[in-house]
Amino acid sequence: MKIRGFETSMMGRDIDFIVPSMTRLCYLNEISHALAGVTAVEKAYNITVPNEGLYLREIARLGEIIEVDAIKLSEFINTKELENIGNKIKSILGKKGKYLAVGGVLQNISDKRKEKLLNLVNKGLNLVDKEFINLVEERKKKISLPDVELIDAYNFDINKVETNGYPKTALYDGKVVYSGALSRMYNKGLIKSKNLWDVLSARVIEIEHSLMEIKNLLNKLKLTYPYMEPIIKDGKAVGEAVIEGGEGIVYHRVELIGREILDYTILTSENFNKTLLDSVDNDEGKRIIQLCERCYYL
Amino acid sequence: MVGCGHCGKIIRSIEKKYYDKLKEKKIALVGGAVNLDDEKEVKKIKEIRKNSDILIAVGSCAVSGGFQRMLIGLENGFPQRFVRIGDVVKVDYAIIGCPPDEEEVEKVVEAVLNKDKEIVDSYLILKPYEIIAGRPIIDTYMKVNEVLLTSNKELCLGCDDAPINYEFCTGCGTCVAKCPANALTIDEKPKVNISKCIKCGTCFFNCIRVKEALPSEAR
Ligand code: SF4
Ligand code: SF4
Repeated sequence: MKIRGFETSMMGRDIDFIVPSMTRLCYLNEISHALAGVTAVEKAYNITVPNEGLYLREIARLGEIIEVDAIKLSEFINTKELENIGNKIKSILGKKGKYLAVGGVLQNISDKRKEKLLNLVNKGLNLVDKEFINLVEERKKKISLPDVELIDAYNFDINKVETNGYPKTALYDGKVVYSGALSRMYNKGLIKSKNLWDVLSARVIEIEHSLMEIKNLLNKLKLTYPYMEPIIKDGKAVGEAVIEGGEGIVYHRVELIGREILDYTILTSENFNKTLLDSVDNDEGKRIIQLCERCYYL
Repeated sequence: MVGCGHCGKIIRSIEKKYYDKLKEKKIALVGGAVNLDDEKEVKKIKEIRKNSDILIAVGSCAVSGGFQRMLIGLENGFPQRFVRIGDVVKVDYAIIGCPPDEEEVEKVVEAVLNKDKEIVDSYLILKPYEIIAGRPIIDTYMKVNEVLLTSNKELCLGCDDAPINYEFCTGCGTCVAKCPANALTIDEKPKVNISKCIKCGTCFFNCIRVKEALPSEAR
């Protein structure tokens, strides 16, 4: 694949273009790229989003995480149903996130859909196969892989990022790092070691954890209007957002003048993970991480 | 090919289900646009064509260039050209949508396998694309600014700010419901919010009067 030029192609466009374009950058991270872009604009103009909108967005983001974890685990175990469940959950923002907008979410779900989603979550919880973690532990003893340094969106400082070339490979604080499910589960204290093999266990743990979070969020939904018309000021403004998407960190920075995009910068987990895979140079490592070319060749 | 991967996922799932039949009948499903400046990719699509009797373009990127036509691409400082598959090789059937519904793709595949003329004929829509979308819009090595200045109208399939010429529009709202970018609103007649439109062509080709709206040579 060659570079598609997503960042340059955003220049001169209206902020309304962010959601339809960013949901088409990568199918795996479709919600998180759009969400990071929208959030960056909201930060630039201090736009408040109704809680209801925030809950819907979070449910979709977690749905994406479940879907991606399941897809990346499917090399090792059958996770097809969990993948479909994640996909259905992320569609809470409409097909290709079409109801996501600066200011919130344009449409809420119905009572009936909420019920259906809750049933889906319960079904998903019954499908999580924790036995797989034991198999990973056995593999770990047989084939040695290195421990990795982790980064996550919760403690991210853009000033510590050093990028190289185009497509970008990236270091954090001068170090080769991993971004993704393992970083998140380690941050939450749900996994204790940092070996490359643990990425697989982290995915299983994360699917269960995300399903439980989604259940809480669905119960919080009041099904009120999740959107507030934003006030876009005239002058220049800069906003940035970093969130955890299906594959890992998604960082977007926008420079704006009113509604017009002057400059756009994207950084993803895959910029860091490519550097890591190059340094490990191991086929098993590649199978575990499954670098996403679309997020790398933006 | 170049796309977000969504159509690729749909194709993989259908290929898995119909593997033997597709192989036997030499039917290829392809998603994504072609990067005309990527030799490997051009070679690959030519090879797919050579090895198949029927080629089905799946999704707007493959059918019309779709969203990818709006990207600039950069390789060693040069912009790239993203074009529909039909600009490089002959395509037999086209399924529009960004993404199309998996059920719809499956329906077309079954119809092609079973030679269900009524269904397959409605997907023989490449001729209109040749006429409406015309030659690739982005020329070789246009400067980035020139690409940015390429107007929506030129990139569009012919709809520009309305999914279809108002003369044919009955105000039924089908296009509004089908638009995957929430770019259409309707009062009496639908209107496109050009800032949101990804030029996927879904609205145009889902219009109940599309056949009448097409130039006569394309029908
Ligand atoms: S047509 Fe749309 S969904 Fe399909 S690959 Fe292209 S951008 Fe993705
Ligand atoms: S208005 Fe909607 S359906 Fe029509 S081309 Fe634009 S994005 Fe596609």
